[in-house]
Amino acid sequence: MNPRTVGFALVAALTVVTPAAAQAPSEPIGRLQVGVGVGWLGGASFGEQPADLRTASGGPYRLFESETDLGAAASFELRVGVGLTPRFGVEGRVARSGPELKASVSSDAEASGTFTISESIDQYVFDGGVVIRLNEFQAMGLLPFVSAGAGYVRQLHEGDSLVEEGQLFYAGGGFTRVLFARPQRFVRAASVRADLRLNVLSLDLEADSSRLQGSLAGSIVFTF
Amino acid sequence: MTARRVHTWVALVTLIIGLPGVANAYIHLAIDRPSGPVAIRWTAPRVRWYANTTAVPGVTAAQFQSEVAQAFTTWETVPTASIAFEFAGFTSAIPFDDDDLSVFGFQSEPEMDRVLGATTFIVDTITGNIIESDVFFNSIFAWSTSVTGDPARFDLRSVATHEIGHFLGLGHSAIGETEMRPEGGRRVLGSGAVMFPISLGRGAVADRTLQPDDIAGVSDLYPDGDFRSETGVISGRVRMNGAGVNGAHVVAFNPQSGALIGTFSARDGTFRIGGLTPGPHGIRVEPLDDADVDSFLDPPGVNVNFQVTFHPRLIVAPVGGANASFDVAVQPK
Repeated sequence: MNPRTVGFALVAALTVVTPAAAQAPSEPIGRLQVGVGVGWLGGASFGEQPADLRTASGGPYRLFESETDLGAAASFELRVGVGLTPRFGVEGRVARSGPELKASVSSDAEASGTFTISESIDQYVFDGGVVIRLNEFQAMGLLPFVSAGAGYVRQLHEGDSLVEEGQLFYAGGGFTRVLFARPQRFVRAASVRADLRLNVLSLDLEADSSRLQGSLAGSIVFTF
Repeated sequence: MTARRVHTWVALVTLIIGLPGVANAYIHLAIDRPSGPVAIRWTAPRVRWYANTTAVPGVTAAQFQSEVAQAFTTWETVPTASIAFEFAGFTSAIPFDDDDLSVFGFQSEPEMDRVLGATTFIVDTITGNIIESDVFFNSIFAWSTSVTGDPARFDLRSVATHEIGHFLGLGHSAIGETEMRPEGGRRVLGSGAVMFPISLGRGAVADRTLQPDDIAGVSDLYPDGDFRSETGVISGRVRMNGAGVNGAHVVAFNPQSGALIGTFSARDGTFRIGGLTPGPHGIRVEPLDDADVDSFLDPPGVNVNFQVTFHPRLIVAPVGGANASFDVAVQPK
């Protein structure tokens, strides 16, 4: 099973409606939570950038058109958190993905057709933020939450030839569903979690430009 | 001095260019040494130049000096390059005399009826140091100093900016598109460098302003303190049927800024493009078919029988270093 399939399976598991118990089990407060998961990082557009020459009037003569996108990719993540109160928690996350940077070149003055030029990137994200559980909206064993935070982004270009660093801000939300709770055991609880996020990414080498990226992730979380 | 002095010259033309100079990778003028090409450059911290007192219709000697001085300022103020100039005075000395003076001036050269201006050098053939360089502007043409350009005349400052590029040691850039004129010669559709060998034509003043290829070229030749540590190099080889392609025009395209910076492949197909903004670049390879080949390179062996090609991978210019060399495969026409 490939990672993307696993991600969809985990998310799907959360959306299956099961008969709710009269009182759903809850995650212990003040305990360490460790989660692993997979997900899908949405693509982002860098927009169009033509290659223009200069004419006698100073206007542009188009040598070719180009449009650059960062492709969607599977991601893997490790999450660590702690519930401070029944409503508030804090968490940190490290995620790795391998999106492809693609430039589509067309309308060349001397060559017909469209050319796709690409490069693989290793992207690492280290972020942290707050989680607010919306206990009042808990239903059918699903506990909704919202989250927000910030982080550090590190992109390694092909062959580790260039490291780009940047910042990330995110806001999102999702659901958790407790699978079991055993307060006296080493593993006190396990739950599954689905996250949907909107990320604002800014890289230091791309001055004055930020891009929006959506992401979806499913993970299994153990409480110790 | 043990070095032998030699003359070479380069010219900006109206329709067709002639260049019996030697061009090296990255479009720097160079001299061939047994150990390899040596780029020619000034080593003096401040280069002194003189203006000839000859005036032409529409341009006084004072206007001539002022326009050339402003063209020098254009190159001097490139933030990533370190080179300075000093106007040393007016002189009756004429360009092309071997007199240890670098002289700019008008001359009438009716036999060079397609040459707007030309630059000559006296260089130390051991070190590549420029000892003297003269620039002439052909007074058989009508010249203008109008800020907005005169449609009947060539803009003096634009041509001076081009010639000063040569004066600094830059060769011709091939970033440009042309079409053949029915009456012969070529018309420029667009150029990506002031150092393109064919003029934009009468009335055009656009070449008063440098383009990314010009800035990278002069910065690579006269780097400011942090230039090399803050920019990157892309190097590789152009191949066709496994063999290196000589004289291919290789351009690095920055998909974020649109900047185009180019060079030519050497006899073995290798190329090197410096002064690039760190990050991924597209690589476009084309034959030298937008001007006469001898505008750029010694023609024998230059291959122009291949198709325009985009390398399928984005190539990253690292910060302060070079990429791992790669091959660009081109197909015959």
